[in-house]
Amino acid sequence: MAASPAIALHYRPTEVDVPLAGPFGTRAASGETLAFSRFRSYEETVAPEWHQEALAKIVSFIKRSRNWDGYGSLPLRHDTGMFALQVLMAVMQPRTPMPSIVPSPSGVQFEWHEKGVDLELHVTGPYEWEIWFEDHTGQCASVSEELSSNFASAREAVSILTKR
Amino acid sequence: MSANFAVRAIDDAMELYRRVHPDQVVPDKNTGQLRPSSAAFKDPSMSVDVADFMRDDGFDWSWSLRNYSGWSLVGLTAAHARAKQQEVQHTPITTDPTNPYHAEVIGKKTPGTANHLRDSSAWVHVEPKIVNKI
Repeated sequence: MAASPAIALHYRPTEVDVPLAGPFGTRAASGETLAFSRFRSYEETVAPEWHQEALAKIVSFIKRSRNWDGYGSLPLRHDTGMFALQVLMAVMQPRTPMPSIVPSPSGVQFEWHEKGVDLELHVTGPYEWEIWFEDHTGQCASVSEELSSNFASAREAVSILTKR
Repeated sequence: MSANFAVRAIDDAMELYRRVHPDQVVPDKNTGQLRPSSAAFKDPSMSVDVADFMRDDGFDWSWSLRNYSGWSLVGLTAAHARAKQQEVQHTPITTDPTNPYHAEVIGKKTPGTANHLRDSSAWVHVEPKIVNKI
């Protein structure tokens, strides 16, 4: 019997009914099961939790009314919001902490203030964004750059934060 | 109908109040404190209230938040803004709702400029509900 839509929406697999085995992506042999914890790890790789949270926040910024900040700012533009999501998907790694997602008068900003690092990615339009990176431990040079289609400096900064 | 307010000079030592939307207050795990996001300082024509002008008329910081329950407030001096090549101009709002204390910090806000303004600012009021979330 097929699950009702309501049940399907809230369905979470259990260890009993995960017929996968071996390295991720390989087909399970008949009767094999994959440890639930490993399946969850695989699931998180496919659809990480931060993705839903980031999407929900960005959509809420797009839906805001004019003057949301009391200073006449417009809501986040749809194309800017979607590019911001692309930026986040491009730089996030499995162990990267969730950034604060903050609306600005001209776009949206992702920011991390932890592990001795201040890192901000401010997206103001498709392929219009900037990075601000400061390492308070003195191990890495500060970065302040306007960016377009080059994600390298942002990836590197997020990588430094993630590995710490 | 519009009001008339005299435009006044803003001295370097004068304090400027900037409201901070609840979504622009973020945790700083490096310090364990809440900080205003630099996103609150990005507007090329950044509106502020001149605290000194408000005090002359007997008002305190709560005047800036009178219609903004849940918002926080930071203060910084005009000198800090001017140090980053920003113009600080008294631009009273003469149409309803009027604001005789309104001023603008005018100029391009690079990440460095926005972070300088943020670093130079101090909390005047942090919304207590937000503090509980950290």
